[in-house]
Amino acid sequence: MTGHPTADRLQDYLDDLLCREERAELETHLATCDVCTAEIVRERELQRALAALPRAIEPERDLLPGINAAIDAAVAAVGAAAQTGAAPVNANAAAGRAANRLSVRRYPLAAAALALIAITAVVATLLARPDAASRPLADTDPTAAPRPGAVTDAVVREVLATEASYAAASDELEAMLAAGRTTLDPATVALVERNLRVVERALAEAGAALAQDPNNASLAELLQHARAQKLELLRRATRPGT
Amino acid sequence: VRSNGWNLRAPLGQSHVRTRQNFDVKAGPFKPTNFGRHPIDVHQLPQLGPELDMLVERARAGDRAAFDRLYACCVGRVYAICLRLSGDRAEAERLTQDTFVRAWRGLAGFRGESRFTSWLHRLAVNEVLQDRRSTARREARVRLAPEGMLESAAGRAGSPGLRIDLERAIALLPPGARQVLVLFDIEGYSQDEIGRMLGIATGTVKAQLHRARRLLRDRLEAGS
Repeated sequence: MTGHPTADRLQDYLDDLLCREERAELETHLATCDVCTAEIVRERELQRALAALPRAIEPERDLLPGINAAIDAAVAAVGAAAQTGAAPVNANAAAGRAANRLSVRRYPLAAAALALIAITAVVATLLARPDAASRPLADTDPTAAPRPGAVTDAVVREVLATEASYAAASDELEAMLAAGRTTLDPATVALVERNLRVVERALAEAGAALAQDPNNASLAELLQHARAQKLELLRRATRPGT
Repeated sequence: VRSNGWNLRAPLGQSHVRTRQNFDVKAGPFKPTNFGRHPIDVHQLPQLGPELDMLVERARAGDRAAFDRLYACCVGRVYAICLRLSGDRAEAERLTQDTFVRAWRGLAGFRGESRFTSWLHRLAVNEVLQDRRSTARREARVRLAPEGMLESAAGRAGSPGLRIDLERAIALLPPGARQVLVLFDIEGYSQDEIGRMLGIATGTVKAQLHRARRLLRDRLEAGS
């Protein structure tokens, strides 16, 4: 070997990527070259430090609730698809969207909790009362089941016209929330995450129930109401000064 | 080999790089993580081996409680992979969640030919590498937020100093160089594997690796 080996050659030596002859040649050089030996020593120090880094780092918050909620949403989506005969290709997307929403978790409004828990309670009531939940679409008796609040905002109605426009509006508003996230304190973030889990489950349950009973007016209205609530909360959360 | 206190042939360069792929939670200090949501008796947590296999089997059959326990066992490794590869704590949390959701969906197809932990860690790597939509944001954020990341990465590990500097220096590497360094020097994948993962030639992997190490050394030596 003439002169010093290249830096790449030394790295390959450290990574045990040289053949036997190359290794022997380089070691012969190292035996007489303090410069290259010192280089090897420094590289080994770095590798030693890298090897000593902890392999596991615990996250600062419990990620399991978000994971479970996303899995729940995927299960509900698969169930709904199976009921309606639709291809269950949206299950993965639903889980991904749910996970994203949960990791966004940025409603700076404590009021969200009350509104969303109310939605869940209504869903639970409807599901627990099959006689009420199975009212046909034509049945307009307002006393037969709990009635969610009327959707009065014309803009909300328009947004809710299709699943796609709802999802797009929701995603856009959540992105706006994401941009303002740094101003939130951890306690609010934790509260918001819990609330978001509630509404996601409510939406998933309502969607699944509606898939089983597509003519149920109460469930359809409930789903629309839950979506409207979510959009409204997102809107309020992204409003300056909240 | 001269006698200078260093064994130039072994064990670090070889055994470290070649066998780390076998590293799993087994080799590290075991720390359950569930933040008190479900009371889990630490002594009943699986220390890997048959217990872990049993949990995997139960989770495959749809047992959510078993899956929760798998999460408790494995989240630290998954989060570390996501954190170091992404360089951003919020991104790492999201990617960790996505990895476990994907694991739940993929468990039915997991045939046990590889170790569950190796499979899971590979899912995490893929989740980060395929997360193209956040790449631009990540690159912008890394320069703003390495301190926060390092508090979480090194603060709990109990060994300050060099480790903090090293984690910070890794977080500040250019994304391509950082990914190759983390995958090779920390996670123990081979250069060929990394090339396939990243869709680049092995020679490019090597060039990025050497560049990353040089940058790390420069930063550490400049800071010391």
